[in-house]
Amino acid sequence: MKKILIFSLLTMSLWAMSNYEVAQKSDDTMHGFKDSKSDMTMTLINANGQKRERKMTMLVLEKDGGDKSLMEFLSPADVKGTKFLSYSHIKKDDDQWLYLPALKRIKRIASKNKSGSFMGSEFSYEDLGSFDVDKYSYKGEAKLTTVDGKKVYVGERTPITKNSGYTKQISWTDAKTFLTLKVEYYDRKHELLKTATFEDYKKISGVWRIGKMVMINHQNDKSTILVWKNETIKNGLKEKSFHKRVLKR
Amino acid sequence: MIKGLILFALIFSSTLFAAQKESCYSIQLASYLQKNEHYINSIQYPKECKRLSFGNTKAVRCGCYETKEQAKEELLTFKKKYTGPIIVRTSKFRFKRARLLNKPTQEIKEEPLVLNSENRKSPETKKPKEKLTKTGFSQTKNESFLVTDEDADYHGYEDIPTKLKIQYFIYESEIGVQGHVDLITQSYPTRLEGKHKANLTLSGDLAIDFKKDEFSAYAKVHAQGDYYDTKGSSEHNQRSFLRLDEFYGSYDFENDQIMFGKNIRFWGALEVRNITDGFNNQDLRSDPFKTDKLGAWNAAYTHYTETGEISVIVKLYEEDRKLSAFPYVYYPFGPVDVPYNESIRTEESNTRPSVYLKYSGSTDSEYPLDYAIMFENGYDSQRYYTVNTNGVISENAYLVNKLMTYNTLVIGSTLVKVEAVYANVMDGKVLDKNAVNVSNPTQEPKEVGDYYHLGLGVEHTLSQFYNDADLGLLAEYYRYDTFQSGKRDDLDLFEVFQNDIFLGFRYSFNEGNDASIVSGAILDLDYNEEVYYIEYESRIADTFKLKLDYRFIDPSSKESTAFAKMGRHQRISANLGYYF
Repeated sequence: MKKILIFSLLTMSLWAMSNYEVAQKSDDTMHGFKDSKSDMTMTLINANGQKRERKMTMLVLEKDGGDKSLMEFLSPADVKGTKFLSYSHIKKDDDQWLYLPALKRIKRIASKNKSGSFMGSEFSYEDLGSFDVDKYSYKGEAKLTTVDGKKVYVGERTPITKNSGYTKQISWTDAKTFLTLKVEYYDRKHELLKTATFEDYKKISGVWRIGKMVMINHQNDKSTILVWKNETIKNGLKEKSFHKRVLKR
Repeated sequence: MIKGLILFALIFSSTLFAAQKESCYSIQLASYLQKNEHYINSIQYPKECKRLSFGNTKAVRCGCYETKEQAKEELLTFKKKYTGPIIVRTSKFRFKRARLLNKPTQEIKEEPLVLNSENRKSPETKKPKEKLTKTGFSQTKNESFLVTDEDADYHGYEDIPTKLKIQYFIYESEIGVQGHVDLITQSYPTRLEGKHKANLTLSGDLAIDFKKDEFSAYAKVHAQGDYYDTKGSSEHNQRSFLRLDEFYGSYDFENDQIMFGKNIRFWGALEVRNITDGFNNQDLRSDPFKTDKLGAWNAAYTHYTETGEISVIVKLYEEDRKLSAFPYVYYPFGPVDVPYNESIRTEESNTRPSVYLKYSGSTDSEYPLDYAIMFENGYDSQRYYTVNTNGVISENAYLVNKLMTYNTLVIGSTLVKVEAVYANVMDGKVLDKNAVNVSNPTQEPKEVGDYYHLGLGVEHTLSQFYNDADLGLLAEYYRYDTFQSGKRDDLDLFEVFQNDIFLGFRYSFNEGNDASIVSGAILDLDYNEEVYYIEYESRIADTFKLKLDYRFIDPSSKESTAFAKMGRHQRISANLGYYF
């Protein structure tokens, strides 16, 4: 009986995790890819179910102070060759530039507001930025529950930046792998705005990478599916690959 | 002739585009001369691989992947078993055909993964080296007759016939084709008497880019056909042409780049008028409210620092500019047609190079700044026009030492922009003492003097102003003046933005069609001129783009400004573009 009690206590202590710890473990799980190259397909679905497809290539450089990313649009044809370079920062606004090939112009983007729509999709710039534990505040313990026979931690986090479009986010995290399965986003009026589901995780060179993200907007009935294909990590990309010079290449 | 060229360009572009869509990326395991096929027959390949013929050579290729990244992923699998597989581009039809060819010969049928090269990593690969040396290619030290790729290092590449080398060079490269065709219709309810009341233009761009490792090349042609150029000569607008806009190559080193060719550059930060953007001249046959620059032949060296770049650019000569004819509504020289000599007039030769030094970068501070400082010794982008005793108009260019800067400062959701120019004129004296000013023919010809031009701007964005839509508020101020009296002033030089305020907005709907509305008013504080415009653009069915605009110009009634030469003006324009 005593043994059972000790085992139970041990198990409970193992499972009792703070929201911060779950977020930290989740971050660690996805950490260590060093850099990534992938093709992205974004499908925009309006309230009537009509679909539009956007194709891009994406390069990401993992950095402690905030990742660097370079996105090149491949379709629609009128934006082909347009490039978006972003240096994300944890404690200040991101640095962002847009290259418009028709004009040969590099335009600086004011990135203060992170809640704007990305390419008319249901994703905001904030949703697509790399997850970092320090971008949020956490309270209390994560709730352990079972969803479809799978143990998951459910926890709440609040974006630190006042420029976020959200007042809170509730995340569902796999208790075994610490991979994020779902996030609910609440708008500035504290109403449920969007739900993101994360699917098709695959381990590439020992690091978990996401394959598909579905974002449903509950307020306008639109949704967007983002699929990553042909992703490779640890390609040996350097800072040079994210210098402003690459915009004009 | 022009129509034929345009048609050819469009057909050519469509063909290239189709060709690009019909190819895929494959992994090539071997290539060999057809006469040596009996050796290859003893080799066993993965059953999904195909044997393809290219003239008197053959190649063994596996997979037909849409993207190079996908092929690279598969390449890793092949590299585990073999050394030397490479990624190549293959026409999709070859794979379809190969399946049929392979069937009767059974060459590739259901055989285990074995290759007969000694340098293969597979444990089964223990075939004699001699066989390989009889394949028709003299062998390098790795005894491979295959073109292999280890981080773009071609083992045995020197031993491959030139024809094949060219093939491999092309296969290993990335070639992209893109372009668009625009149908533009414009109506001018208010215009100068005698000018066309409407216009229809068909234009198109075709661009090809080529990348191989650190080398890249780019070419772009622009074709335009004006409806009135198909009519009788008195109605000709002289706006139909085929033009090579860009044709250049560049090579990137670790921290440097060299470039040579004809290209277009953009220098500036402001919205309405980029006063520092003088590297390329605007085509005088184009709609003046649309950016349509002429490419300039130049050579450039750029050194990249951690946060910026330093460039030396040498522009090789000043191009002559053609002019539209009088009936075109934007013919710039007033209410009558004046003969135009398209050869540019300069004191020194127009092949005298213009040298630009440019230093630009970004700061990583609380309020980030993008900055650029440039110095030019060469021909000024500002020009003036004279009429000689025979009544012929000429464009005149002069040399300057010019200091320029353009900057963008980010303060939260606000961009603060500055563009400034100071020009010290080196040879601004009158080239033809008998020629008179176009702007004021009664005046004595004047020299060009030193001048400055300043532009200040603010752009504030209200994100999610209405649902997902953003609203950008724009305000800009421009000031131009000369330092010496008695020299050519802004009126003589047709400088429109000499003391002007611009107020405008940009409303981005932020939906799937990237629709936006841009509107503004330009108010001239000296000459009481007003310009108002509104533009709408949206994508249609992901392939087409619709642009609509309305403009109204109320020119000065007292001074001979550029707008006064054009007259009171209203226009409605619709542009439907097909993009590929």
